[in-house]
Amino acid sequence: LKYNYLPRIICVLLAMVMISTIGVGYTFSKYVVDSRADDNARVTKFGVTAVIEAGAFSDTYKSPDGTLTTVDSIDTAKVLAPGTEGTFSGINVHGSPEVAVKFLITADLDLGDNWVAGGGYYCPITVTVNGTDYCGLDYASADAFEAAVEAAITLINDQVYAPGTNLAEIPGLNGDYSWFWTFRADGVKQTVEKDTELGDNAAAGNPAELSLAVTVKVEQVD
Amino acid sequence: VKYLSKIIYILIFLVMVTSPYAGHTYAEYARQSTGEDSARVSRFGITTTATCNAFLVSYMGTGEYADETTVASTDGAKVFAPGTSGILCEYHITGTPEVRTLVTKTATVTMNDQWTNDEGDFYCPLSFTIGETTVNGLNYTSSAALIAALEAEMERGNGAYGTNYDFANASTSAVHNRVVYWHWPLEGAHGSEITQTMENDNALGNKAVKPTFAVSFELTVEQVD
Repeated sequence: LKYNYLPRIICVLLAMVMISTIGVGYTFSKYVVDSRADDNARVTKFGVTAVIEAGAFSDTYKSPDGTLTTVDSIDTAKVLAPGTEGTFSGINVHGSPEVAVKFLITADLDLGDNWVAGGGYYCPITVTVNGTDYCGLDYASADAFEAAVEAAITLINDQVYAPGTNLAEIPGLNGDYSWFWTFRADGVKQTVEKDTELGDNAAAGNPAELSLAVTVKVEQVD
Repeated sequence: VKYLSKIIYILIFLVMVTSPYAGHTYAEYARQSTGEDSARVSRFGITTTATCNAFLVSYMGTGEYADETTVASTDGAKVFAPGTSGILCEYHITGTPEVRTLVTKTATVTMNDQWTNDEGDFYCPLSFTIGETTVNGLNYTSSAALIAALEAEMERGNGAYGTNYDFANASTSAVHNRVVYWHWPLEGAHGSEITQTMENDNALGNKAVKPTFAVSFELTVEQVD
């Protein structure tokens, strides 16, 4: 029984050596001109905080003066309605790392298939990203609206920021994403009739839905 | 066995030496955060109906005359006469919206100035029943007063309603789902306190310009911001 373990242990150790040797090879396999001097150092500072908080939607909303509940979900699901608005606490990155960094931001705005009124696509929701409004009524399809918002949120992807950059001051990075549904803005694009149709569809069990998921990753650039 | 032990020691040593380099190769600073939220459109789902098809060009009799036409217009105009009745208006609201709503009922009743008896006094024998309430024209001394009373009763329930208010619920629907009946009783059918007389009824029917009565009703339920 003693001899049965030894080949296994040897195999495991060989595998570990092979794996770790790759790292050694990568690290050392290069042209080298060597000279020697003494120096000391500390670990570079990273100290980056990246926070995204949800809370864009609610199951209840108050009147503009805050005195009356004007929207209240019957089943505690989060809802949106004409006249409601909210803020999706967007990317909140702070720190001045001593290493170069870049951002990998992903945004997924999903409208589903039920933003339909008057026989065609109709989404009266406006999403504001870094001060710019993106209104669903300005786009011909849900896909186009989603793409526009996602592109705005991920605008700074792959840009490299030098060591010492105060990440809190990068234009177009930090900031909230807000949304609103204009109340009774009868016009060419938004109409009470179509807004009402969306509400009736919801009552009939076919609600239009909206979700936004954002991920931000701050990583060192080698 | 002796060789194997040595091999194991060598391999362990090699792993210990090379592991930090491998670790150095793969490690980097990184921080990640994710946020997500979703919602659906709130429910509205209000249905409203309002009809005012109050009068006819002819009426069937009652009792032994049930199979006979007892009133018939000669010119195709809708008419009313002693002994006729009908539904003035009918309106319904159903639904349980998740938004605060404002109900606006607008009743518009018009009467010309021919509702007078031979003495020139206002005289309207039409009686209206809305639920438990009766608005009897004979209790009023002017068409304006009768119109105001009837319109007010038909518009009862106007105002704002909170979220998730069930308009069709039996305990709350009394003012939102109503039928308004009208009736011109034959003489004496109003009751002893009513001063309806055949003479006065005849006065209305004998006028060169006949008394007219018109009604319209509009019902709106809209979201309140």
